[in-house]
Amino acid sequence: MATPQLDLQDRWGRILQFLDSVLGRLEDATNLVAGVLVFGLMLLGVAQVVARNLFSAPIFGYIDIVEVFMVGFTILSIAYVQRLGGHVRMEVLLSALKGRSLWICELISCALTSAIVAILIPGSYAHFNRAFEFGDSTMDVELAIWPAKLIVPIALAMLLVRLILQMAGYARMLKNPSLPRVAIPTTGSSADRAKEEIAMVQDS
Amino acid sequence: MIGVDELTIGILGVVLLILLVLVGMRIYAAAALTGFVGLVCLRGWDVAVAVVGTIPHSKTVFYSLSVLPLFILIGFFAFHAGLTAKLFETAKRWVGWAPGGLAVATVFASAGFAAVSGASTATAAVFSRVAVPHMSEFGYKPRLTAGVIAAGGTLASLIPPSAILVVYAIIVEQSVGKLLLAGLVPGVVSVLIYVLLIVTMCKVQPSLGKSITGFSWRERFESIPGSLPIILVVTIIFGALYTGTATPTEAGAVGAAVIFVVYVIRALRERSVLKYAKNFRTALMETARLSVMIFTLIWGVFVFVRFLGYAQLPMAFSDWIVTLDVEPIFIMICILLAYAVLGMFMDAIGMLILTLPVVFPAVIALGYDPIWFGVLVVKMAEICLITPPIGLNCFVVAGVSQELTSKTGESLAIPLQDVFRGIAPFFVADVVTVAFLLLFPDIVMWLPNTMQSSPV
Repeated sequence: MATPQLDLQDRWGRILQFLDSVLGRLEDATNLVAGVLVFGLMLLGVAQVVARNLFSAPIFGYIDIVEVFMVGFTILSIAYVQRLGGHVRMEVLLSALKGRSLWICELISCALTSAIVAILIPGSYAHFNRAFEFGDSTMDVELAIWPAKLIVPIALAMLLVRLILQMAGYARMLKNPSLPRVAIPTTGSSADRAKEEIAMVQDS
Repeated sequence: MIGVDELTIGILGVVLLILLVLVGMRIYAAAALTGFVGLVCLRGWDVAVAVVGTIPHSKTVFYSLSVLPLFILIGFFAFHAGLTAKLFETAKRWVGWAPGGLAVATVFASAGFAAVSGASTATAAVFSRVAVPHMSEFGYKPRLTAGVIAAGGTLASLIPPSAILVVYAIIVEQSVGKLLLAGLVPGVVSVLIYVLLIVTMCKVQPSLGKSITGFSWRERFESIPGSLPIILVVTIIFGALYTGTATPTEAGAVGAAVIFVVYVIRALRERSVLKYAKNFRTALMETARLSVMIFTLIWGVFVFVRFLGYAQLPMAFSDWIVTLDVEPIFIMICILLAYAVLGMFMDAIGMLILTLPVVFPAVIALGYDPIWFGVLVVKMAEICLITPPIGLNCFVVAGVSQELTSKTGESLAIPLQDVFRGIAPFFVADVVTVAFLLLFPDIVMWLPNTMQSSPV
């Protein structure tokens, strides 16, 4: 899953590639945790159906458990998705741009995204902190909610680091558009996305 | 607060969002940023920071939303469990006798696969691999081959479990179960219209594709066990939703578990556990990636929606719409056309999440049913998967075909322009389907209206 390593000539590129690979491993791990949680959700759902319909004894606090752990597959690996360029956007204008004009657009867009993510981090931390201080818990089984709320600022902080790396990657391309791409996702045109779908089917 | 009324700030916010989306900013970030700036203008910095900070958690961790990753997981397990080739073989033996038999079989098999997968492009990718070599071997014209596979893929958006219908249900706060059931009959109508189209085309011009005959009843029945897991999952999901014995999440969990068992059995039979373990990891990673992508869009747009709420824009827009001196059906057609145009440039889920907060209240104010409207917009979004310039399914079919060769080693590549030409009749068929759904809303509504409520 990690980005393939290139033999780079520029120092900036090598540093970026190193940081990209370190953060990439962490992002891969968060996404795998998210995937495992979905699988766990599947097992829990089956257990709930069997327990309720065969033994008339539904799992106590089933909905609470699902809602507490959901944060794992709603936001935990947001940085992973950003690294792959997987968040939806409109490509019409970008696909018409090349070279420096493309990299300027990407850099500005990345900077604006970083700004809103940086604003969200303290807000989501305050949301966690309130739950922590008041000992907020779920309705039925009284599971503590603060750990789930703490995941949000952590995931967003990872996203911010990823965005900073991508900005550095775009700035590097802006300086010299002929360099090989490091720490930036592909543009995500229909042809690129089709290639990704095809590659996935090939693996099976 | 800054000398401009709230509604004007709301409109300026919409304009800013459109600009940011047009220049290629990720939609979640564009929506959250615009929403935040708008909230600062309306309520000040401190309130805005506090409000937006709660949304990524509070707007996504609802039990009803947990169905999404499970539906996505079913699709990925189904790919790797090798159910597509068997499904195609069954369809070929049962309906191959019709004019254009293999194309008809592709439509039925795509519909069957759509019933365990909510992803259109993935369905198109899988069937390109299975059906292109077969259809080429029997002398089918590449344009028909490409058209039917790309169009067949779109069936996944309507036939449950459909991820996009769940997203719609979440955004407009409607019953997920009702929407999923509502997609079934229109999905079947789409299948029948596609089949009618293929049969007519091949009757008029037999060189497009011939019928495949010679299968005995024994051979037909022998092909059924291979497709049983899909039939089982379909029965479980529909049965659970319709009778209310399980929530959509539970139905999704049981469906995924059934396909997972098939997957494990296949791994054990082929004695290649390592390969299957790797594919299992890929399925989990891809499921997580898509889930996070959709949930991020949801909370990003909810930040914007909160701002719109303060600006009272959706209310003002729906008030304006109902005062227009035109028939509601005309407004509805305009809305659908706007979706058709927008969908040519934007991903379907992104398009729905972004526009529904403003469009949906207006549609309801016009007196239309939210479930019916959901099926219609999803059908429109589905059509956009086969129209240029984005038409992702067409890119997928063209891409897969580049790598395929016939038994004699000839390339089976179908150029992209041929795929787009091949899809044209299916596009017309889809427009006919939309017209049917507009004229006869009962096609959508009768099934959800008879369903029972779920246990939780």
